[in-house]
Amino acid sequence: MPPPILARRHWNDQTAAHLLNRAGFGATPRERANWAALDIEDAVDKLLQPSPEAARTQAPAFFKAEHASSRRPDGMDRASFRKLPEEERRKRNMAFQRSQRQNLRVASIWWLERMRDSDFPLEEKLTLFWHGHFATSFQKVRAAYPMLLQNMSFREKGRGHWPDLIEAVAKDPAMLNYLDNARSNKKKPNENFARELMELFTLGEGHYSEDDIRNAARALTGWSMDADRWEFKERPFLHDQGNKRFFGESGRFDGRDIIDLIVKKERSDEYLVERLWSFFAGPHDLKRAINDLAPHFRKQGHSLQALLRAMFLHPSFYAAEQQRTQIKSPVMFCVNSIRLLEGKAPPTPRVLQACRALGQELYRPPSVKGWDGGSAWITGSTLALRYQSIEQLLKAPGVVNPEAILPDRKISRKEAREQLFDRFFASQLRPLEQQGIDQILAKMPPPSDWNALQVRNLLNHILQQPQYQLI
Amino acid sequence: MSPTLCTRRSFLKRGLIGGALATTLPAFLDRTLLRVDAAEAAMLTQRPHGKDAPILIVMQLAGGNDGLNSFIPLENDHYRRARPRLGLVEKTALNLEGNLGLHENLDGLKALYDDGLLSLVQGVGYPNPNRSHFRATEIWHSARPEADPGSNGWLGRYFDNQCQGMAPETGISLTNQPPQAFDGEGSMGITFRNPQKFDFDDDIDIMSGASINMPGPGRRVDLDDPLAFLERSHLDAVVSSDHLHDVLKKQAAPGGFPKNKLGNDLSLVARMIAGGMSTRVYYVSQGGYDTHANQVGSHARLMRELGDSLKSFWAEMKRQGNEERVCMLVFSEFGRRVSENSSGGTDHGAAAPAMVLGGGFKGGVHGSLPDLAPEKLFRGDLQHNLDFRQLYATVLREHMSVNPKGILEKDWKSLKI
Repeated sequence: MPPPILARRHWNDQTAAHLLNRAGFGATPRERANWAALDIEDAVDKLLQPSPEAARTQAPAFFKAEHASSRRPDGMDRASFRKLPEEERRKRNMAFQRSQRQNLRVASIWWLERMRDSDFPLEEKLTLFWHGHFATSFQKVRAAYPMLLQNMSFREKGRGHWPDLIEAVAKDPAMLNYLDNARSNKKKPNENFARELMELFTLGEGHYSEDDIRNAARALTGWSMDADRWEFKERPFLHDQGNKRFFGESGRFDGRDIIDLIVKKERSDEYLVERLWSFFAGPHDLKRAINDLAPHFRKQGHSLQALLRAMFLHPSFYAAEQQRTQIKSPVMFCVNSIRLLEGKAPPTPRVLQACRALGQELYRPPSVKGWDGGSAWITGSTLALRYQSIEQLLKAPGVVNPEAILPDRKISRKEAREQLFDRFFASQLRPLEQQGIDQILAKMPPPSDWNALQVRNLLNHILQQPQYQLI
Repeated sequence: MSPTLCTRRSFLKRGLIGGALATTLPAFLDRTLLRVDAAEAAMLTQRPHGKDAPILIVMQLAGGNDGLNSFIPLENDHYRRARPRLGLVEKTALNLEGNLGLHENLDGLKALYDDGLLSLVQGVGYPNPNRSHFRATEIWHSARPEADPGSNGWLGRYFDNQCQGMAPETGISLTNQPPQAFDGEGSMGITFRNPQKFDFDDDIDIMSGASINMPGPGRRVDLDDPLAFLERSHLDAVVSSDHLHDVLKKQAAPGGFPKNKLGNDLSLVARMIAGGMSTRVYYVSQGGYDTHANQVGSHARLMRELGDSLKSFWAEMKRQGNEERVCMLVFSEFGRRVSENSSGGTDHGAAAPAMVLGGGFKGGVHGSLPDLAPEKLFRGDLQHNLDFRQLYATVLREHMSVNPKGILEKDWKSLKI
C-alpha cells in the first residue's frame, strides 16, 4: 500500500505555508496563495522539480579556476614545495590559508544567496540537510575547493539513489580527508570513517558490532585520494584483499560491497526516514512516518526523490503538532527573515556574520554529527544575539521593502497588525501578544502616514517575539 | 529549576510594572505570580546559597584524550611496542611518581601536582564501554550507562535536588550548546560563549518579555512545548545576564592567563567566582582531542594549553583564597586505543585517567594504571578498574556536601583522594 496522502480538503494557505517553510525557506503571503491554489500532488511535484533558472546558476569563479589546476600553495607539487626553505614554506602556507578562508567566504555567500534567491529552494534546503547529515568541516579540511565540491555532489546526487549517494560521500575528497580514510591502509586500517558511516550516516548507534566496524574499515582501505588535486583515487596497494565478515556474511568485500550490505538492512531505511523526518517535519508521529515511509523507500528502489515526495505528501507532515514548532536554525532564521522582508538588496556578508554569531557556520559543522538543532540552538547568548541580529538586519539598507510588506496603507491599525502577523507567523498570535503590539500601534500614526523608519521599528517589535524563533 | 520567585521578582522589577504594558499586567500576573503555590512561597524566605558555598567546575577534554600520552607509563614494554612512533614522548616526559610520567608540555600541571592540588585517578571508565563520541559523552553526562539516549544529566539532577528556587545562573556553561549534563527536570542552567554578547536591549526587552507565558513550577519544559521552552530561556537569560553584567562591571579580568580559548574561559570563570556570582557549577570544554591522524603536534599543543591554563587558574584561586572552595573535575569521554594506527594517530578507546583538582583533596596519584599487556586489553583498549560514577559521588559528597544517592541512583563510595 502506498503511503497516505494529505486529504485535499486540508490543503490550504496554512498547509502550503508549512510545506514551503520546511521544504524551503518560507514564503510570502502571495507565494503561499499561489501554491495553495495548486493540487497538493502537483505542488509537491513542482517543489521537487529543478527549475531551469536554478540549474543555470554558475559556481563561484575560484571553483571553476581551481577545478583545472593544482590546489597547493602557489600550484607547486608536494616534492618541490618541500625543497623550499622553511621560512618561505611558512610564508606561502600562511598566504595559502588566507586565500582558502577567503574562498570559503565566497562559497558561503554564494550558497546563502542561492538560498535567498533560488526558485528551487528545496535543493538548497536538502543540500543543507545533507551537509549536516554527512557533516564535514573546513576546520580540518582547510581548503575551500573540496568543501564546495562536496556541496555540488549533494546537489547532484541528493535526490538520486541512496547507495550511490553514500558511495559518493565515501569517495568524496573532503570526507576522505575529514574522517581520515585517505590515510587508511591494510596494515592498520583507520576506523574513523567506517564507524561514522554506520553510527551517523546509515544505521544509528547500536545496530552494528565493533567487529563490523573493523571489517568495514578493512574493506574501505584503498579508497584514497590525490591530495594535491583533491581527487578520489583508488590505491589497490593500500587495499586489504582478504576475506572479511560483515553483518553475518563473508567475502573479499570492498567499500561498495559494505555499502550494499548496509543498505540491505531494513534498519538503514528506518534510520534515514528518521533523520529526514526530524529535520523536515519534527518529532511528532515519527513511528507512523517510519512505518509508512521506510517500506515505500525500499519498494521504490531507494529512490530519494520518491521518499521525499511521499514525506511531503504524508498527512502527519502537516499535523497541527508540527506546524510552527520547529526552532529555526540560524541559517533558516536569517534567510527566512530576508525572504519575508522582500528587500531588494539584502547584504549577504552581514547575514553570514549573523549566522556565525548564532552558532551555524556553513561548511563548518561543529562535529561529524552535524548540528544538533532544536533546543540546542538556544542558549542565553544566542537568544540575545538573535534579537540583536534582527535589529541590525532591519537597520541595514536594502533589507526591508515596506511597499511589498504593506502594499495598501489605507487600512486600520488592526488590519496592519493582522497582515504583519499573517506574513511573519502565518497565523494570528495569542491575545497577550496582540495586546502588546496594539499598544505600540496605538502610539503610532495611522498606517497611511507611516514612514520607513516607523515600519522598521514596528517590525523590530514583532520579530523579537519568542514565537518568531519558531517555524 | 522552573522560573523561581527570585527570577520573577527581578523580571518584574526590571521594568514590566512601570513599562508600557502595565495595562496587561493583571492577565499576565494571573498566570504567574498570583499562582504561587506553597512550596514557592517558602522559597521567598530561603537564602539557599551563601557567598562561600562550594563551587564545582567540570571540564571535558572533548574528542577523547589520549590518556596514555598525557600520563605516560615509563619503562613499560607493552607501551613501547604498541606505540613505536607515538611512544617517543616517553623520552621527554616529566617524572611524576614511580613509573608515571607527564607529557613534557604539562609542566604547569606538574607544578600543581607538586603543590598537592592535583589528584590523578587512573583507569576510569564504565562497563561495556562505548566508542562513539556522542554515546560516550552522553554516558558521562547522564551518568546512566544503561539508560536510553536522551536521559537527563547528573548536574541537572543535582540542581533539581539541591538548588530549587535558586537563580538560573546556578549552572553556567561556557559552551556553544547547553551540555546534556545540565539537563534536569526543572533546571537547565545558562549557556553562553561570550559575556559581551550575552546582553539584552532594555527597550525591546519590555516588549518581548510581555509575551512570556511562564510554565508552571516543577514542570519539565521540553520540546513538547517549544514556545514555553523559548520563553523560559528568554526569561532566565534576561535575569542572569543582568547579574552577570553587574558582577563583571565590578570585577576586572585576572591577568596571566594564556591567550587561547581554554585560558579565556578559565579566566572568565575565575572572574565570576571573584565577583561573587551565585553559580555552583561551571562547565567548560576544551576541544580537539579526536586525534586519529598525525597527533604528535596537535596533542602537544593541547597539552600546552591545558597545563598552562590550569596553572594560571589555580594561581588565581590561591590569590583569591578560593582554592579549597573550588573543585575541578577533568574528564574525557574515552581514552584512545593502546596501539597507534597507521596514520600517526590513535583510534577511539575506553578507560582513561581523570583529574580532580582543588585544595580540598589530598592530591597524588590514585587507582592503578590498567594492564597494557595485549591479553589484558578488551578489543585493544584499556579496561577500567574504577567507575566514573564513584568519582562523581566523591565530588558530590566530599566537596558539594550532598548525598549522591539521589543523583547517581546508587550509593557509590567516596574515593580516598
